[in-house]
Amino acid sequence: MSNEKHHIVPYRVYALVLVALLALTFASIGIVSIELGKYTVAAALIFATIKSFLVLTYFMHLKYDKPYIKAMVAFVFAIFFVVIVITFLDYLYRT
Amino acid sequence: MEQHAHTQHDHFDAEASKIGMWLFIFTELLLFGGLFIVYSVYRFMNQEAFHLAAVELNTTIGAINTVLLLVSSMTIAVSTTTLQLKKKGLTLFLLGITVIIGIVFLVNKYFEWGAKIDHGIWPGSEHLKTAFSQGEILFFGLYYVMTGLHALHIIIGLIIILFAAHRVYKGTVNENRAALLENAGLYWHLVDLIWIFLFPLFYLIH
Amino acid sequence: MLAALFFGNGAPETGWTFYAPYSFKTGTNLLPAVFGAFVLGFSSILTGLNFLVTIHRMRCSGMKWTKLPLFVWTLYGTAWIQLLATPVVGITLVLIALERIFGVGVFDPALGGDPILYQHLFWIYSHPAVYIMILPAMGAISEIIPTFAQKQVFGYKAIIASTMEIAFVGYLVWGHHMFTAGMSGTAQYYFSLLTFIVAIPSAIKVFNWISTMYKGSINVQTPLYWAASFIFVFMIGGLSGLVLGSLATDVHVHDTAFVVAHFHYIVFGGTGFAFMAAIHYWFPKIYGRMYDKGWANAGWLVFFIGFLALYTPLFYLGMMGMPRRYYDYMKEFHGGNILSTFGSWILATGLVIIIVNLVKSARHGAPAEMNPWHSKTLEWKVSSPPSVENFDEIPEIAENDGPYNYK
Repeated sequence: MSNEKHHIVPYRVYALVLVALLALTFASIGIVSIELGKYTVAAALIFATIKSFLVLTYFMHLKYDKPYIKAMVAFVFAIFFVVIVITFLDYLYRT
Repeated sequence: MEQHAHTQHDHFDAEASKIGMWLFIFTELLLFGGLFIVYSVYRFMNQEAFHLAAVELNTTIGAINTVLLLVSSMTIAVSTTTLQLKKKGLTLFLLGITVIIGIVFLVNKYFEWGAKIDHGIWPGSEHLKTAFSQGEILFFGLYYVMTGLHALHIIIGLIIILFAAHRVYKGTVNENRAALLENAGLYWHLVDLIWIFLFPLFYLIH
Repeated sequence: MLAALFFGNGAPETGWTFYAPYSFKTGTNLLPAVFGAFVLGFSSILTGLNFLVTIHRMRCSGMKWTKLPLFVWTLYGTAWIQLLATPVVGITLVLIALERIFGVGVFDPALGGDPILYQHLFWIYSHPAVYIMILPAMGAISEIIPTFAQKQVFGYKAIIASTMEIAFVGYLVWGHHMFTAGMSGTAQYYFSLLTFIVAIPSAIKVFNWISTMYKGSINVQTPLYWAASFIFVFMIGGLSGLVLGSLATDVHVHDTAFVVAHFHYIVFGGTGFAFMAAIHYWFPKIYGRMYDKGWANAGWLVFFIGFLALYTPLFYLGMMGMPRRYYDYMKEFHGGNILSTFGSWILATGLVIIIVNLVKSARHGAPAEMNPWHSKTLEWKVSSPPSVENFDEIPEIAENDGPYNYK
């Protein structure tokens, strides 16, 4: 369907995203070498979340996709999060 | 038969194949999601042991592999742009680079696993059972299962990319019908996405 | 999976749940069974994927989301569950296989694993699996009732909303299979609460079906008999589910025949009855021939009586404390079990009547009209049986057309 021709992403965008991703990778390696105690895990995961967000938005073209595809992706991540939370309702409160 | 192929041609729907791929990616995410649930529960139950065991892993190799995957993700993303700009040669070149990086990743992984096995650490090994605590056994079990399954996905991804490259070469994947290449790209980014989480969970947390 | 029964060291003795740690300790031939289940899961995922893409992209012009027949809507919800729940059990089965082959410690308590985690992962899929069974059944009923009441379905959007709510909340209630497995108390409260919440949309559907029939011009035919008896047994099954969903009563009836009765009232009484309703509804479309209505009704009556006699005593037996999964029972349970056994014979007789009637009619029945039930959905606008390409011209849905626009 050539009438649904989608947006051509310029090279510059990809290059910038890659630079950001690499910077975040090294930043996350850096931050866990500082002793943050129990926040280390949280810090590493926050960096990973930002990175995955960049990959989803730019590399996987979600930014240029129709809203319903974005909604489906968000829904799947949300439901996975809910499942983890519910599973932990068990493990957090074991005696 | 000829007629049939023709009607199928008319039914070509890039958006349908795109959401089909996305839906498949959802199942892959939940496939790994199951493993992430297992990981997070056991990590919660054995915090100290996971800490100790993660020290055994080589952060440098992990970081190199992360960089490799990120770069390869970019090259395949750029290749979809070059295809739309009708630069076939450049597209094939970028896909070639992606495949080579993927193979280098696997070679790295091979040496990494090999080093672990040389130290007597593999699932069910005597050394693992006698010298390590239960939490560490769980950690290494998950390490092998999750990175192994991820490596399997890399191999599948490479096959898909090679297939797409072949179709680009023949010209059946072109600027008007780019869905196959874009879906190969989506799959490769998925592999990248999972690694983005595997890397901190196994290599960084110590 | 069948191969596992006949080759190797004997059939898997874990039951269908493959509960860890027994599933990787048993000497029996478990791997082929697990592999079979995995392949089955994969085909289920691909089916779901196919349905979703089809529903998103291949609707004919004018077929808006708010004009889709309710059966299609339930398939849509089902497909999402298949897509999102099946991979979780897939990876769980892979883990069991790896544990058996390589001795990877994942669920083995001797290596620090937690068998209850296996149960979590298993039920994350296997609870939604029963919604995969019941949702299309509800969809078929939602088609049949307006057709035979010749009336606009009551609360079209409410039915859609309840379908999607069942699909969504049903994904989150897996823990109610594990109330006595050793979960934390907090988790039990939440799972119990969510289980009650999932009962609400099911009840909404029942109200909608009954309200659709209210003041309709009812055309009493075999599919309607099936559909009406579906509502009846589904209500009993659903209400008994609440007994199991609340913690205190569940501890009393857990793993008793009460659970068996509940499960069969929903999955056999619900899905099975709706399946029969759907077969008798679409039969003339599929084969272009009409079945013998007298025999079909007789088959329904015998089947229904047999069903009630078979499963109702199990509620009573379960309350009295008869455990499930035993072939023997104590003396005081004798009466109920005898009644139940008689019921099973009656049910089998009914089933034979139905099958013989349908098979005979498919070959020799009187030719059916294009639209014997005067339904408004699209499949009745083509000849019976439909031709290969279905529609010579892709139909268009006008502003005032709809799947349930009866006067």
